[in-house]
Amino acid sequence: MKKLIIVTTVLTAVALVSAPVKAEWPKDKPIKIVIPYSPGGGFDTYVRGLAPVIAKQLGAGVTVVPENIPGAGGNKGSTVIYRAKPDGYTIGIVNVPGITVAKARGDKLSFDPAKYSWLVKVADSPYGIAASGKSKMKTMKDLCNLGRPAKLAQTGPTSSGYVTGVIIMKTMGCPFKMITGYKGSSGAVTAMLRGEVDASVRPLGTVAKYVKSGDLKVLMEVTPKGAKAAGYPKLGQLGLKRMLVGPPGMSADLVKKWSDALLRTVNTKEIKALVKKRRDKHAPAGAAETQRLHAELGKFYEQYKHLMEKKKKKKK
Amino acid sequence: MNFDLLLFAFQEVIATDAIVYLMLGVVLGVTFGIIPGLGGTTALALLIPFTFNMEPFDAMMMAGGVMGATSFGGSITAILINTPGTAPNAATTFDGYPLAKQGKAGLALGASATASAIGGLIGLFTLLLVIPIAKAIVLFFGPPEFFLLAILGLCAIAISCRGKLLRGLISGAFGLMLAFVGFNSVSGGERFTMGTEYLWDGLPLVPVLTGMFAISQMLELTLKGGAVASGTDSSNMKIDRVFDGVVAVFTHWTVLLRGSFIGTIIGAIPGLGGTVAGFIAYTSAVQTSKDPESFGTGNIVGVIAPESANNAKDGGSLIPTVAFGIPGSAETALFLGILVLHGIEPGPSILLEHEKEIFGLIAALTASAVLASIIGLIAAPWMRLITAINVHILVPVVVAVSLTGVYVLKGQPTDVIVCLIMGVVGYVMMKFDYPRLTLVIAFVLGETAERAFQQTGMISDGDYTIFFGRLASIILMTGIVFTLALPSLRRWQLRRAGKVPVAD
Repeated sequence: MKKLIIVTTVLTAVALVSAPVKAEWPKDKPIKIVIPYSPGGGFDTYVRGLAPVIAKQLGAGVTVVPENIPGAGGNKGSTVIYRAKPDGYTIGIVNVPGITVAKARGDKLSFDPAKYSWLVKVADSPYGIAASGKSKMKTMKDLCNLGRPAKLAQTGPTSSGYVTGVIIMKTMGCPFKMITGYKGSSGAVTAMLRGEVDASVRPLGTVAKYVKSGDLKVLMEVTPKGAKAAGYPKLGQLGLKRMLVGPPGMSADLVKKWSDALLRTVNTKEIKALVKKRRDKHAPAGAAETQRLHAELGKFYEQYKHLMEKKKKKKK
Repeated sequence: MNFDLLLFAFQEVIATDAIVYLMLGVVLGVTFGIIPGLGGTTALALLIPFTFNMEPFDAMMMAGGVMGATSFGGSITAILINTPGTAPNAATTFDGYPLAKQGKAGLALGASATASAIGGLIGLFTLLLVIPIAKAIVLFFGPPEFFLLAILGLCAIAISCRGKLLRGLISGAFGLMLAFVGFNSVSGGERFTMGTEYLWDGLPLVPVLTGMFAISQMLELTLKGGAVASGTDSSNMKIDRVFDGVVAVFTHWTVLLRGSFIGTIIGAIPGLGGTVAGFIAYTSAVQTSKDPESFGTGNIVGVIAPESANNAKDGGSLIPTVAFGIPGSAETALFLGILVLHGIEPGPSILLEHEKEIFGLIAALTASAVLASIIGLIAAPWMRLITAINVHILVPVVVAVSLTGVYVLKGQPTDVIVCLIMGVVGYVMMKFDYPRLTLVIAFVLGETAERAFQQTGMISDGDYTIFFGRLASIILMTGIVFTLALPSLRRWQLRRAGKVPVAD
């Protein structure tokens, strides 16, 4: 009998001690923000700027850890976010319109952009069509009237810059040729400076410092205003959007908690300064709005599907 | 040129606690360099979060410390166990390891340390000299030149497999095949990825390199038994002096200068890294030597050339940075990322707006190259004892450390599997006497060569005479012809002098 009491007491004690301490989201474990690109780039800078402010907004004792998962042009990280548990501890930044375009084009993806739990939009990073500061061109008309196809330097046929370029040039009826394979903005910028290409579609934020030094000039700003000025207002929808998402299946409650915290974060002084520093447009939007925007962009890029078809064996 | 600011930067290094960060960086750099699989890029990537709360200048100290030290750290394993600690040290194994096997590891380490330090200094000095014309230099090289430089590197294959030309070419072809796996960013198609996402970016360099060298070497040692330097007279080890290695570098000062020059130029070209610099420096040393047959058997020049080159590249890789705020290498790209984190935007005016940080980095690189080598020289007498350790202890340690290093890169178990597979491949190649190094050269350069060639075609609208219309291309083509013709020229020379040439 005595033995039974002792055993029961010991077992109960063990059970009590090993029972998990019930901590509530978001304090239970570190929160991971996935960046589908290597350190140093635009998406990386945004997340690393956001992380500490998010932690503060979520309350004391919360750890927010950015994690770079580069590969497959951003698809690897996007897949990781997609497959994570929807418990609110993993979110990430995604490339819109990169993933939108990929879906519209019919690429084989291991994730469905529409199914993400869209959380917030931080900013718009508009593109610009840049050319060498030494060139005689002043506007897009000059680029179109070179008497030969204009050469544009881009990273690769699946990059959003490439897609944006194709859509703009085809809509404006400019003959062009895409020269891909350049490594990042650096490669494209030096290509323009060397004169081996005529122009490149680049984020305005990256180009700004070269415009300041006189090395580059902007032929067209791909913003609603710039597009209207060029006579093609619809093109204003193009551009990179910085949006944060969670895995599909997050509860409405979690989405709301995240969305509120993120909106507060985005509207802080620090984040406004961060966006300004990158010369992007501070354009916050909550969960519902962001999801709607993405769906709209999906439809927008669908209409250009025929322009974006993957190159067939025959050269153009 | 603002010498005041540079001196000020050096002052800051010594006077403030910045030197602590520098030393920390150096120690980290050497450690990461030694561990096969880890290198400067990994070290910097891991450090980025920690620099978040540091002053930009201190972050530069640490980054510079790491960058300057990894090349030397990697040479240690290259020499002692025929395993490049980092990819740029691959060429150092050619003659470094034979020296270690002969019980002359101290000599090799001494030469490597000294060549690394001086090569690094020359690279940085050249950087300071060319700052006024940095922009012109960066713009001088475009896709046609990238292609030709890659071809020049591939020509190193022909040189490095003396006596085994056919097998060397087959290895090289296999290396090219491996290089083409993945997504082609020019034509936009996936090749040989077998539908997996893992291979989308191609076979990862570090697991392949680590497997081919570290794992296969460990397999060989296990089956051979004993220790690395067994089979030589132990009295050899007693007369092996590190100081002799130091002296050797000064004796062969032309090799040192040429290697440093090559390293600086190649460092300045984005896309070609220390690995290419090491190979080309080694090749040029073989070509200009009076005794080319001795390379591969333990010629100390074969250590001096690549080690000076892979350190000089650090200075060179900053040339595009000071010109346009563009990275010249993967490590520089990460370093620029650190700057971005601290609110400093690298751009064409970076030298005007953020002189302090850039000169801080230059000062840190200078100090680091020297410090790492001093540490190396002091530790060399003990390090060479590794060659006397029995394989039963050495092999498990190296294998465990290497595989951990490979796994740490991306936390991907598949990387480790690739490493092991390549380890077996490498061992088989060793057994059948197929040179592994030609595979590596081809693997590293294949992607650059193909991409640059396709871009050249697109830029010139299919008109390949573009190669003859550019000064830089003409210079490089002459270099390639010369490289390929040299062995025949030399044979002709020998024949004229009445000496019988060695059959190839």
